[in-house]
Amino acid sequence: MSKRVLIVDDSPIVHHLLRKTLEAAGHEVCGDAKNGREGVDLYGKLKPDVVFMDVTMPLMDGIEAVKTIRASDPAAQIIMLTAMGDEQIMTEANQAGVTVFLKKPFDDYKIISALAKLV
Amino acid sequence: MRLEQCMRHVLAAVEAVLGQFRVADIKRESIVRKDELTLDYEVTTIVGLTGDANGNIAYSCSNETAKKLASMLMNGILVTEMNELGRSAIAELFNMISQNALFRMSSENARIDSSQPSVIAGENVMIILTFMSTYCVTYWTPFGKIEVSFAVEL
Amino acid sequence: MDQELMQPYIDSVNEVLQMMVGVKVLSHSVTPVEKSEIMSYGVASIMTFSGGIFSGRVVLDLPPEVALKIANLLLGEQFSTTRERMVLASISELNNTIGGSANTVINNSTGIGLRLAPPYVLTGDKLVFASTKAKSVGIMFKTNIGFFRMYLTLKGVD
Repeated sequence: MSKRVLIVDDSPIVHHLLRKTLEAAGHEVCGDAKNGREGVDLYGKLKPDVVFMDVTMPLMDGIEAVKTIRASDPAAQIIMLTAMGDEQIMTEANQAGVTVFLKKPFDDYKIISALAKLV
Repeated sequence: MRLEQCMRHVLAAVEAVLGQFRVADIKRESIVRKDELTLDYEVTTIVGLTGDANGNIAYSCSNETAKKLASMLMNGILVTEMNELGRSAIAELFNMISQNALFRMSSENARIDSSQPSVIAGENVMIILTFMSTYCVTYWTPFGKIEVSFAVEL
Repeated sequence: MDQELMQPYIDSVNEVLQMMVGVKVLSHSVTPVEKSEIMSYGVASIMTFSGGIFSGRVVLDLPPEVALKIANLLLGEQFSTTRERMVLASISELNNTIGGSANTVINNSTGIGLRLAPPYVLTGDKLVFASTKAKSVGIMFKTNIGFFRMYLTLKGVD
């Protein structure tokens, strides 16, 4: 089923690649945010089905952004996509309420199968 | 610690270290915000920060200014060419400045680690320091212009 | 440099190139770097990391034609100059992914909490990177689209 997706990442390349993968699979990218704060704002405005969230970002990092989104919407579906994924970061992400944790590098299969796992 | 404080400590460190070398008459312009910073100076020194502040601070100048700064650091031994010796003097100068800045930040209980400075020199240089927005400050010194750029996440 | 710290980087280059751009590493060779200066091939991304008593730097240094090819494979577009934003952004993201995935392995196996500063990326002619003295290794990677070099510096261990 087609999903409306919000992408939160500070790299223009990640936005470009995720959009290409998601659109090819029939999903819609409804918003692009460059940092956690923008991500939280856009989440409130757009009410996407799924969020792809990076960890290290300016202004507000991904963990904080997940906590804020989760507090306002307990049913939010958030996929964390990050290059740094050690045990400490994974623990913090899980406590913050991430739905799925994905490590970079990623390819189409990794992204699409993660989306398929969501309710 | 907020970004404004981080910048204030770095600028204070620049001024204090230059002052230690008796560089007087430094003028500082106001802070300017830029989107996606590209630097095209001949010599740029970059220091990475991690911990409570995460990012890079860049100090940029022309070859001429770099030679004068290197001469200053080497107690007046005239650096006439930006060679290996000159570049290592520049690395040392900005290492002193970042250590000075970190000491100032530690007084606010900020836990920050810094990397060794990297000096980047060449022709037709184009550096993208960050794809995000940045804050820049220009200094006018007797040695010429020095630009300080903050691509730091707090 | 300790093999325990270098091997994750070599593994990460193999995995990331294969997955992100479908490039195969054919061989790699490790050489100590005696000088504190690096002469660049023309395009480089530099990322520093630190944690506790450790600090380090990872440099990816590529000839312009290899950087253009990687951007082409990653984005599916042709680029004519390395001064294009998306070319430099591609190399930056490549370095970020390699560094992140290698440091994840290092953190999990050693307990050192290394954290990355975001990479910066540059291009130019006659480029030199200089640093204060620290031991580095250079790792030359040969791939099916050309060669590039990685420089790893870690202070705090020998």
